[in-house]
Amino acid sequence: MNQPTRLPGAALAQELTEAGHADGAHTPFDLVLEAARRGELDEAAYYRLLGRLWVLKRLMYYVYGGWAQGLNVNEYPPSVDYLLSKQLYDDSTHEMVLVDEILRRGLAPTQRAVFRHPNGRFVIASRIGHFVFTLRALANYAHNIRMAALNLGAKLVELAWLERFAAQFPDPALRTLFDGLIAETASHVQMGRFVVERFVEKPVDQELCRRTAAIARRDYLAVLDEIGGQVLGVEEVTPTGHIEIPRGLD
Amino acid sequence: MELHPILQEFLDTWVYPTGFSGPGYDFRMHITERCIPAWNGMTMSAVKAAQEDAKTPTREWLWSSVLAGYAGEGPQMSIKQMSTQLLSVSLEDQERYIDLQRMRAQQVWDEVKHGMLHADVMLRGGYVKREEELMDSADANTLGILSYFGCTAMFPHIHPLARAAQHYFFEGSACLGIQVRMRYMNDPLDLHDNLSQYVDELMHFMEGKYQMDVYALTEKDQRAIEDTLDFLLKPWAPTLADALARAKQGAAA
Repeated sequence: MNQPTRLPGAALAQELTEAGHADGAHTPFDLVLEAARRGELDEAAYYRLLGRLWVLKRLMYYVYGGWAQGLNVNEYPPSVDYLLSKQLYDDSTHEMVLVDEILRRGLAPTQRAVFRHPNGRFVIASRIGHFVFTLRALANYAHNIRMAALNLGAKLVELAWLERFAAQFPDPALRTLFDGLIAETASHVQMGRFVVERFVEKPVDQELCRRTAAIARRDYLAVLDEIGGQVLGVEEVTPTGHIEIPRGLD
Repeated sequence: MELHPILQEFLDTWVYPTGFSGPGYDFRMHITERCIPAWNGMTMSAVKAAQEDAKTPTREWLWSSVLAGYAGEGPQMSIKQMSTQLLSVSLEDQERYIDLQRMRAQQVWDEVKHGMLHADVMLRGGYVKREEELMDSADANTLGILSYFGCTAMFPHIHPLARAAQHYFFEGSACLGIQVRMRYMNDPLDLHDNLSQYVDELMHFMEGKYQMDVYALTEKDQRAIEDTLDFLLKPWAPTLADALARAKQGAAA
């Protein structure tokens, strides 16, 4: 009997998955969930939560737009294009679901009002900005590497907190909302696995996947930290001291 | 000008009824007047082609049709072409145009799905065994009108609404062409390919209609759409050499 073919990136996909599970096991959002379960979050806090998550999702149009510009004809089999297209559409749907819940709860009268409210405004000097810029910079890498970074990196952390929120969030509408985002987020993780298993072969690319996935997980966790702090009303500590400019930057 | 009944029905059902009035609607009616002769001509050409194809049971036409479709809106072309539309909206303008990004996110998926349909016809028709085989075909990856996609790729540098010209004129043409195939052909694979796309194409056309009715309210906004339509209505294929050859033929006659 023929042995099944070992996919070139199978071991790496497993390694990245385990790293993502480890980082997703405990996130700053656990504190948000605990506070919600203790009944300490009010509608204003929910607005901060939904609004900040929405800002992140509405910025993804620019990330995916940039990535897709770097997918050239015949560079990968068509399945890779199909999957990225679906993921783009899914995250667009998530963006709409989040702002729709804000409007449905009466937290803002119009979508335009959400854009103009501090909860829905994009701030460049923020950790959301930091994460989005990280993702946008991944356009500099081959598609297999950026899919590893997002889908087998940050998306694993996203899936982890979504699952906990879907199971335990006390507000029924929000619990349902988070539950509704799981299937697609899980499918994005599977897409990442598919791409890494099949299309990451060279040792240098495998190492790039490890590094970029670690950066994406770290920067996404920082986003959760920032949003969590805003939801809970924790004031951000302004860093002191001088800024070190990394070598090689100009 | 006598309009083909399929075009007349399309105009009465989808073009003229509107819930809007004002400068956007007025502008769209002006654009519509410019589109109608071209829509009519392409509808009649599509009818002629369908009648010919219906008489050809060997189905060579199906192969060339889906191959051209795959090259034009297969996944590899579509994801790049459509995603550029997401980038045509600046962050500052996102408050105004986020609905365009949402519709375009869906269209990215729609267009690659159309590639999937073309591939499905090729698989079911026995033309290929796996879609990946098409990566070795230059025909499946060559778009004759590269400039159409290049124009789309320039919209981030032109105007977020420029795409409305392509949505309205081209997607309207696609709707008419599909209607012709559905009415004049009864080949199951051809129907499979076209019927499944019709609602998507119609939605894309309606997006163009919506963009003009709702957003194209100033001369500046309208100019980008009109300029793009100017480009789309230019006869791309003829060159100076073609014109000289035609003049020569005329002189000889």
